[in-house]
Amino acid sequence: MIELTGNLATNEPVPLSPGEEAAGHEARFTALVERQARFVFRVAYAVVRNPQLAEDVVQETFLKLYRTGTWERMEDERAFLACAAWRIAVRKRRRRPEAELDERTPSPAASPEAMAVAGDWNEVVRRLVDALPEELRQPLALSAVEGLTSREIAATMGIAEGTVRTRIMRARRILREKLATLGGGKHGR
Amino acid sequence: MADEERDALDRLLDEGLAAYANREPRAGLESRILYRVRGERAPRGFPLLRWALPGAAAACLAAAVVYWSHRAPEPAPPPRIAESAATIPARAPVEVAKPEPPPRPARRNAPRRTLPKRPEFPTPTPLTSEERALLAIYRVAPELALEVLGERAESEMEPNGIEEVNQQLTPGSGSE
Repeated sequence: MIELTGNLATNEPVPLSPGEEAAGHEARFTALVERQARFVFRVAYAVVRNPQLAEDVVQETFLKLYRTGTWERMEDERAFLACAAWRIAVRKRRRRPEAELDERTPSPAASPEAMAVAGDWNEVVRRLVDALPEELRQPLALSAVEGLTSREIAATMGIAEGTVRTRIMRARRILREKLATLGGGKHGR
Repeated sequence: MADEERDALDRLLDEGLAAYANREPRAGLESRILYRVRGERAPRGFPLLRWALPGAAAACLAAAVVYWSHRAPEPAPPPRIAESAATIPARAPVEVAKPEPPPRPARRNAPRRTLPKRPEFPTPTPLTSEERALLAIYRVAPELALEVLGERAESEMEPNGIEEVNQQLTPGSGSE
């Protein structure tokens, strides 16, 4: 007959030694990074529009979380990470000039009109989105990031949920009109 | 804008936005993040070595400051007179005449000093012993006192002989 002792008998978690606790701590953080790094990268990229800078934002975000230890107290993991990354990305974006942010310097030959003629509509949309004012572009770009909801975007940006919806609607209307001018309606049918 | 065209534009827009947002990072992003985090938490082997060079530089600077601040000022070169003091006899101290102070300017507006006025002039002086004795005699015997006074006055009026000599010396006085 097996004799149950200690915590197993009382159905309580077995206390970990300091070494085991540290190992578990690191394992949880590693899992968090592997689970959310790409999501954080996309949030950062939606703001800074530069892959290298976006990666810097991701690294800084996780490093800050690790230093402060706040990652262990997150309730909504995605919203928390999106908010942290968005703040760091906005701060980095302010420090960099606009020309440095755009990874591909637009040329007259690569205008939205030329892209439309070439039939590269994804590139047309990218150019048009980049040309939007930041207050419209950021909520729209975040709404496209892995299905972030209006509530999550509002929490991330620190604005009202209704404002987020209004800005996304305005951005989409502007883009639709521009796409229609370029003949996108005929292509999309 | 027709609904059909609008739907087509929305589709185009959603596809473009998905391509816009779903940007893939470079491969190995997670590894780079974890590597950096491990670098942050890894204990540094010799933390004191990081401060060795700045510490040594600070110590040198502090030593230099202390050295220069506590260094005694260089003694002034002694005067040459002092060097040859043993060979030259000591001189008597020379009195240096003090320069006279410049004369004070006269006070123009100084008040004049006036002697105090006396109630009686000339100031009465006390009697001599002879006068007091004569006065005492006069009170007792006035005639005697007057006689004494008359003798005295006569004696004062008598020629002292000088007149005679003068007359003898003057030419035409009949003595030749």
